[in-house]
Amino acid sequence: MSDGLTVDGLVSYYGDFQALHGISLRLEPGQVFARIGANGAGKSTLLKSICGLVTAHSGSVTWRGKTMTGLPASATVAQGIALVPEGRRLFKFLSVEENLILGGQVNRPGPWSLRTLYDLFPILHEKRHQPATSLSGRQQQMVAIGRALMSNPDLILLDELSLALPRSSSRTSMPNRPASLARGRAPSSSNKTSPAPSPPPSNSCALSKAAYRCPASPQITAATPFPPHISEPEWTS
Amino acid sequence: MDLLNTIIQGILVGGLCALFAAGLSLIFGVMRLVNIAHGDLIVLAAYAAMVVVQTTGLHPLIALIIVVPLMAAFGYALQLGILNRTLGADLLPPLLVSFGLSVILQNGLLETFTVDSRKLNAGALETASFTTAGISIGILPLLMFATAIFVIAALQYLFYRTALGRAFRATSDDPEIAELMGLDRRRVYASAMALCLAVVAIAGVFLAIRSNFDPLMGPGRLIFGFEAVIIGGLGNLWGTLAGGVILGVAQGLGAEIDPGFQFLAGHIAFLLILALKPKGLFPRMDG
Repeated sequence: MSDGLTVDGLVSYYGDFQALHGISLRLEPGQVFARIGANGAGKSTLLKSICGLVTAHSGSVTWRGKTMTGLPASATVAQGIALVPEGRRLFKFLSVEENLILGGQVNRPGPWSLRTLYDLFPILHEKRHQPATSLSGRQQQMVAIGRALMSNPDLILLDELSLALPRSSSRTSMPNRPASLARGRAPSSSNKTSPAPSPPPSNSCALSKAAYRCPASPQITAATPFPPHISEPEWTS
Repeated sequence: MDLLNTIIQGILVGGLCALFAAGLSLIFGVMRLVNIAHGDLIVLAAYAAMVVVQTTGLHPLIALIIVVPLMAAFGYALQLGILNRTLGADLLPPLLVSFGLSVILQNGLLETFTVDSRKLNAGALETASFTTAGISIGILPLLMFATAIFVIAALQYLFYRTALGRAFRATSDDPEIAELMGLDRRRVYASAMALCLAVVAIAGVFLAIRSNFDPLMGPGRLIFGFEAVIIGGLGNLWGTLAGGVILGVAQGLGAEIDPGFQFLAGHIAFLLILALKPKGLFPRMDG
């Protein structure tokens, strides 16, 4: 029985379009895992299938020994899985603070609260009463990440984290993450439009036709050292 | 002085229109559901109050203590059991199903209570009034208006200051992501319908005290509710109150010209506002 996430032969459709062609992967606690791939390769669909927004056609998702396939999306956050969705998708009728509170409403115990989050992103404290979508793109991304962290997840899924951010700011915002991940002891899986983000993932893999093709031994130029217990995720084609 | 009197009476009557409309506005705001059966649910609440009054002998306003939770529970079950299954990208199924519900309610009430018109007796309250500056103000219309303000203020507070309201707004905005926050949208919608029918219960009891009612008068109440919502601007609760007041005043002025003009004047006022300001007088700023 695994402590982490196991995806086995996952097949998902969008209507008649098959988006995932049998994906298998395995993530252990403490791992950071990145996936890259062209538009339409199925990166977002995989994340949505893990958290229940897309119903899997066949195959399974197992999280800490529990089958997640078939569980409604509203039940996944209580299991410790949080998604930072592509394009942020903040609630525009809600203030910054309300977005964050909603993220934490499942009341999972852990290090993240409004206070610790405002320590990490002081600008959000300043703008907490503004409508979430009135913020700059980068600040909105902070809210989206914060909203996911507020549930004190054990697994955080980041979809297109650097989308809509200028290159410079995506560089400057990245160094915040290792600390936050270590604090939340969260393994994470992220989609990247551009490779070589900082900090480097412990492993990455290219998605092509939504099936793993290569065991990419990524060119990691480690600027930030990773905890030693991180190991390569097992994966199969 | 006559004119002033008519306007004041119209404003007070507008409170009832606003009560008809508030639930409609709430449901459309949260789940984009146009509930055709809304008027019939008001009539159902009136009959429910009648049964409660007949069996317990309570004053109609005291009977609200029983009718409000009863209707709220009915709304919760109705949403979970039927209406949730119709919600999706297509607006037509919920429209058709609520239309069918309207037909079922009307005929069910006809079978059970016959077509005879009924009325709830509120005793001395119905005729009580006081006079200020030469204008006679009825206690009952004043109570209706005060209740409308209270209900709308309470809904406004609930919407913007409570966890349930936050869930309503989030689900209305992006149901998919709201699910990821742990909100089960079916239950959020059911809570909204329960709240809507609680307001409907209040509206139904006031309707039953103020005038005669029969099983077939629902669609007429629905039209007034719709008009008040549209005049005020979709999704704006205080605008809905203003819409109700405008309708009430227009009807009062119409009746002053000729009793046959009463409802026509309300509809004309609605059409005029729709022509001049298609989004209503107070469209919601966000969105």
